[in-house]
Order: sequence, then C-alpha cells, then structure tokens
Amino acid sequence: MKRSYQYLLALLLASAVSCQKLIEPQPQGLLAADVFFSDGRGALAGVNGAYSTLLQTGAYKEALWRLGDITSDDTDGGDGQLEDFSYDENSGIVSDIWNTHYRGIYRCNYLISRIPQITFTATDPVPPGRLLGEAKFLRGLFYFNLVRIFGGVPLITRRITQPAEAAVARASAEAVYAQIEQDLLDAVEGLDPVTRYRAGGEGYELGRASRGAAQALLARVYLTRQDWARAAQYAGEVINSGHYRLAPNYAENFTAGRGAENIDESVFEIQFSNASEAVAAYTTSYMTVPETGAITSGGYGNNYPTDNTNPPDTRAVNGGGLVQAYEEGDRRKAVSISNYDGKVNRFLANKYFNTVDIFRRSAANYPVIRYSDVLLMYAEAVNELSGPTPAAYEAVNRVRRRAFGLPPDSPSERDLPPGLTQAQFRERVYQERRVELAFEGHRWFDLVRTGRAIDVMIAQGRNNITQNKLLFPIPAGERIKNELLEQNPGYN
Amino acid sequence: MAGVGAIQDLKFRVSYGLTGNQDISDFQYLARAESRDYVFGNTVAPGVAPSSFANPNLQWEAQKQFDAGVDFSLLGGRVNVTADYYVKTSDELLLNVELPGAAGASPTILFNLGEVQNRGFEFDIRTQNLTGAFRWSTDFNFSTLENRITSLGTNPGGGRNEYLGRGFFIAGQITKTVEGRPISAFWVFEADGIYQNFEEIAAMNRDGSTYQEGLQPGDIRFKDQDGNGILDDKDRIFAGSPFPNLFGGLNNTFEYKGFSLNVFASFSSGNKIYNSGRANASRDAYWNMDNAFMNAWRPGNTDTDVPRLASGGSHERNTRPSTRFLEDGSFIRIRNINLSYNLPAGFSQRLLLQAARVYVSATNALTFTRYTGYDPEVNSLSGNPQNQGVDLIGYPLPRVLTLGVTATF
Repeated sequence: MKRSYQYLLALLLASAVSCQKLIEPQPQGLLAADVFFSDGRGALAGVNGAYSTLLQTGAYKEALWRLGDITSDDTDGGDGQLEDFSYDENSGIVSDIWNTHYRGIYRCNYLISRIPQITFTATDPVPPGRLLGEAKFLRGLFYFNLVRIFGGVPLITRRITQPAEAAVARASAEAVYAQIEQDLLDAVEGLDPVTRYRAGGEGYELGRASRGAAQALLARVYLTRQDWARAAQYAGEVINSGHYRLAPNYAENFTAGRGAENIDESVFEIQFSNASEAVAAYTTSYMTVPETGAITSGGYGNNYPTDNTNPPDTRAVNGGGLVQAYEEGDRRKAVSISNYDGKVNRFLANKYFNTVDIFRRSAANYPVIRYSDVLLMYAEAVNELSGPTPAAYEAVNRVRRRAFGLPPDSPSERDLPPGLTQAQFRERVYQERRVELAFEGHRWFDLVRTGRAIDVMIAQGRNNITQNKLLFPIPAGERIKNELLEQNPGYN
Repeated sequence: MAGVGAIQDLKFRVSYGLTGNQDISDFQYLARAESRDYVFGNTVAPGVAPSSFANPNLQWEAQKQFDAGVDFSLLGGRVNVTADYYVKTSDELLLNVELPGAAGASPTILFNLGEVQNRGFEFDIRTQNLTGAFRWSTDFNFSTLENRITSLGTNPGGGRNEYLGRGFFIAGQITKTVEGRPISAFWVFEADGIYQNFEEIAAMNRDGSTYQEGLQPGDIRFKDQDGNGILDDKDRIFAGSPFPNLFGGLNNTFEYKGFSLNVFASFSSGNKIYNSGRANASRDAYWNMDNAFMNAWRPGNTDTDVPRLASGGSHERNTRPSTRFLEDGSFIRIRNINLSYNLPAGFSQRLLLQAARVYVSATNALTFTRYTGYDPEVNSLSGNPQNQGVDLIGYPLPRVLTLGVTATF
C-alpha cells in the first residue's frame, strides 16, 4: 500500500513538469504571425508582403489596367461589361478589386500597429520610420483606388482581430480622402528621397516608394479633389527636387522588362518579374496576339486602342478614337500602338510588348506615376488656379518636345501656341494627358474627375453610360456578408 | 425466452454518448502568416504577410448520439431482427464563416457555431431461409436518414449564416446550406420548358422590365417564382437533398455441397445529384458537347427539351444551375457476386493439397439507376461539405472480374 502510494506520487510529480510543452507545441512548418513580426527583419518582410498585394489580379496585374482604360474611350477588348457599361454588383472585377485592396489595407494596418511595438536594433537594415512611411504610402494608394472606383468605403485603419470589426458601414468619400491625405503626408515625412534608393542597399531597393512618389501621389489626390493649390504645391515639390527627369526617348519608359527599369523618369511603378506567375505581369500576354511574332507571349488582343477607321465588331466608334489622337510626327504613337507591319488587322497596344516572356509571365513593370504625369498635373493645377502661366506652359512643352524628339530645353515649333485662354489650355492639357499616358490606366479616372466622362463616351457612341455608372457597384457578395453596406445608386 | 416459445431472444437497448471531433488542420486558432513575395528591379524580394485571424476560443465539435433499439430473434434463431432509432446531434460545429472582404485576411475563419441533426431508423434482418442440404441465408439491412441543420449562428455582419456551394466550371451557386434544411440542399432555378416563340418570351416581362436579356425562341424558360418579371436569385427554389433518405444492403448466401454463391447488393434512394458533367457538356460549342444536342431545338424540330444551339452568353444562360441538370440519384448496385467451390477433401489430397478452393467473383457487377452520369455514388466532397451531391465527374468504378484459386499446403 505504501509503495503504490509512492509510485502514484512520483507519477503525478513527473507529469506536472512536462505538461506545458505537450499541450502547447510551437507550430512547425507554418508561420505564426505574432512570432514572425517581432523584429526589424520581420517588419521589412512584412512591408514587402504589403507591396505584394499590388501584384494580384485585383490590383495592377489585371483589374486596374482594365478598368482604367477599357471603360474609357481609349481602349476596348477583354471585358464586355466595361466596354458597354453593363457591369453590376455581380461582376467579377468589382469583387476582385474590393477584396484585393482590402487585403492590402489589412497588411498595412497590421504593420502600422505592429511596428511601434517592435524594438529595432542597429543591425536592422531599415529604421521603423521608413517602414511606417511605406506602409502608409501603400494604404493611401489602396484607399485612393477604392474611393475613386466605389465612392465612400468602410474605413478601417486599425489592425482588426475580431471579424465583427470588419462589418462596418461605408464612410463618406470625404472621410476616406481625409485619411488618404493624412497617410500620404505622413509618408512624405517618413520616406527617403529617391536618390537614397538609387544608391541601393538592403531595404533600399530601387522601386520602393520614395518621398517623391508620396508627393506625386498626393498631387494626384489633390487634383482629383480639385484642390488646385495643393496639387500645384506637391507637384511643384517633385519638380523642384531635381531628382527626376524626362528620358530622352519616350520608349525608354516601356522596356517591358527587357531594358532598364525604374529609370529617372519613373516616380512609382509596379515591379513585376518573370520568375513565377505569382510575381509576373499579364499585360504583355493579354494585350498581344500570336500573329505579332510574340509566339510565347501572345494572347487575347485585349485593351486595343479605339480607332475611327476600323470599327471593331459592332462597336462603331463615332470618332474620338485613340489611334487618331496622335499628331503627325508624334513618336509616342509608334511606342504606344502598333499593327505590326500589317500582320494584325487592327492596332494593338505596344507599350508592354515583348517576344520573349512566356504567357502570363511577363517582367514588364506597370507605371503608376511617371515624371511626365507630374509635369502635366502641375500644368493643369496651375492653369485652374490662375490661368496658363509660363511655368505651366513650360511643363507641358517639355513633355511635348520629348514626344517629338526635340531638345527639351529650347522652345520648338511643337510648343503650345502662346496666348491660350484658360479653357483652351485646359483642353490642351487633357489632350496631352491622353496621348502621353495612354495604356497606363489613367483615362477613365481623368474623364470622371473632370466631369467629362458622360459627354465623351456618348460622343464616341457608347450610349449606355448613365450617371450612376461613374461609380462601380459594391460587390453583391460583400453586401450579403455585411448588411450595413449600402449600395451605390442604380445598382441592386 | 422462458415461457414464450416463439421468441428466442428479446432485448431492449437505450444508449447515449458524447464524442468529439477535431479533425481540422493544425494551428487554426493562431493568427498565421504566409509567404508573399514582391519584386524590386527584376529580383524577387521575399515578403511575408499576415493571412488569418486568431480564434483562441476554438474547441472540439461535440456529437451527442441517442439510440434506442430492440433486438429479437424468432423461429428457433432462424430470424434475427435488430431495429434502432437514432438521433445524432452535432454541436459546436467547426464551420468556416465567411468574413467580409473588408476584413482583409483570409476569406474564412473557423468558428464553433452551428448544430446539425441526423436521425432515422435502422433495421437489420438476418434470416436463414433454407437449412437443409441447400442452405440460403439473407442479411437485409436498411436505414432511413433525415439530415437537418438546426442552427448556423450569425455572421459578423449580423445576418443569419448561410453557405453557398458551387459546381465545377459552371458559374453560379448550386447548393445552399441554411437552417432548417439539410446540409448542401440544392438551390437552383426551375427549368420550365422551352420558349417556342417571341410571344412567350414577352409574356414573362412585367411593367417594362426585361425578364432576361437576349432571349430567343429555343431558350429555356426559368420559372419566375415570385412573379415580379425579373429573373434573379429570389427565383431559386430548394429542389432536393444530396442525402438519401433510405439506403441499405441485401446480402444473400447460397450453399450447396461445396459450392457457395454470395450476392451482395446495396441500394440508396431519395437523394438528388447535380450532374455537373452534363451541364459542362451543354455549354458553348468550343467545349465538347453532349450528343443530346443532336436533338436541339430548331425551327423544324420544336418538340424537344434540349435548347437551341448558341454561343457565348446564351449558353451560359441556359446552363445556369437549374432542375434541368438535377437528377434522381437512386440506385441499386450489385456490388459483389462471388461463386466459389471448395474441392472435396479426397480430390485435393490427391493433388497433395490440404485444401483447395476455386472462385470467381465480380465486383461492381451491375448498377440499376436512372442517373445519366458515370456513377451515382458521386464523390463530390472535395473537402467541402457545402458541395455534397454535386457530381465532380470522378473516375467511374470499374467492373472487375476475378478468378482465383486458394490452395493450402
């Protein structure tokens, strides 16, 4: 009796010691988020993970270039609903964009709340302020896309841990813009000038968001809000920094992964690589066809430019085609569009063309902000503020001189004629934006923010556009999961 | 039984039990992160992103089973019957709750909520029909099943939870898992004949609305359940369950001298199957098509239930999830026929064997069913209980004939 009592006691003591490890094993083969994001290197990987959202189909891999161009009068091909304004709350593209952007926002919120809790050491490659700046830049970009496409959206800026916290109502567009503005102003403070990234180093790779990128994005946000003074201010800061310059040849911006990327004219571009489909661009494949000689990258001929002389299928274009928008001698035309020596019976997009990358594995970076865009934004804002000043003229003229292959610093016969009225100058800037930034996802947003979308689309013959189509519908699936989300007018 | 000669054995049983289930992936309670790379220049930069919320309250599913039954045997043990009534309630079900997209992390999170009830009767009757030189015994069993979800909880947005299951390639939901119905109940449109002319098409419109875009004679008419002149998800109906409400087996064994014949059949009825394979073969002409389309609706051939040939949107419309592809999944399958002969002792000893047996058996010999797909026993789970009863066109079961000899030395 005594012996068995001792054995029992020994057994109890033994088990009490080793219980913890058995009951709470550490995960192996998968990452526990709270464990991983607890040092400087983890935070850097986290910021890379937030950038990674930009590569998804609901962002710049596919949805944004389609929505930005096909919906407009610039291009057609690849999405019938965008072409004839029949998108609705069940359209795949709206739920793809919604889910992808909120995934990015979640990652940014996570980092923004987590980084202040991490202790950074001297061996960490990047200081916390820089990482926070990047997270805020990205969050600003995600919300900017969402608010332009959907209007006011649920504004979530803290790290959510309970699903119920995500079921919130839509904030007003004003509130979202206020948040974007704050995020980008913080990003301007936290990010380094692009020269630091051109020098390279771990955590300072070229292609990351720089101070200039945040300023330029801020200028675009203010321009969209018609806050001309601030738009001119921030565009001006990018110009006056002297860090960016127009490439002598327009084509240098669009090497489709074959040549130098992130050149001095690039302010922010989405980095794609042909290493795997997850990190690759779809632009090359989807915008070209096998007949062009791009046997390995040829695809569906999506996003082709509208053309007055060749009404494709039954979409008769009543004028206003992109092919006809280029002036005689404009070198941008051959870079942007091509019919490949007549091998193809219509013009196709050429900016992302290469014959080397395999299908859906293109290394072609996608430009979000280029320096020429900054110059044009500056000119537009200054003109709205005080009419066409010499500085505004010079900004547009530099872009034009480069487009026609002329020296950038001297006046030329391609300059805008002097003495234009504010209204005339405005039209010239809009036109210049169209040909300079074609196939870069700007046109639809430019038409909407300047109030010209309905007139221009109807003039081109797209009569199904109605006022409510200027905003996209909240995805139906989201409204089922969150009954607080109100739908935009005109949709179910 | 003493005192009652007719009944050899009589037993009543009642039982109640509680078991747990935690058959899910590991570490679901933790907030996890995943590898998500970016690129700088053309070099891939490793990145990591948080991918799921934590749920520290995650616990076992509990299954409570109540069973009441009776066993008895009659006729000197020649008839044995077992009958049971069971009610099995699964509680704290581990279900994936869909998160609003604005949550940003993985689209679903595992929660304990929900309760499902399965109940029915089970019978097993074993008889020895003939017990002379020629012996015949039978084992017949069957069960009834009623599957019902009694609760699914509410989602973070405040609405009742419901789950939609889909088919394969076809756009649109096919099943809906809601309270009060079986798991993965079919939730489809009702196909109601074919439009013969434009008048019939116009008759579906109300107050200037268009029932469906682009309809032409030869298209399938889907019933407007709520009569509002618009075809949308409110016109779907619950059209059946993937669970059979009666199933069982019949095993017969015949023995005469050294011969033995065993026939085992099983049956199942009351369930429906969504024939995704036929639906896929009814789509646009760039896919291979079901040869039912030889009889497609044409102006000279209007007495048919196969819609007109078309491409693009029209076909997607006609192949939308509907009762057109929802078929009766009842079947009787002769699973195994086994005929064997034990060689007599004298004979086998002459062959220097202790014992020898020769047999021939056919597995999956015959199937009687009205289902037009490959196999009415669809293997459609693919890990997702919301997709039950949807035929993902698994490889059909082969019929196997085996001949063999068993020799003992």
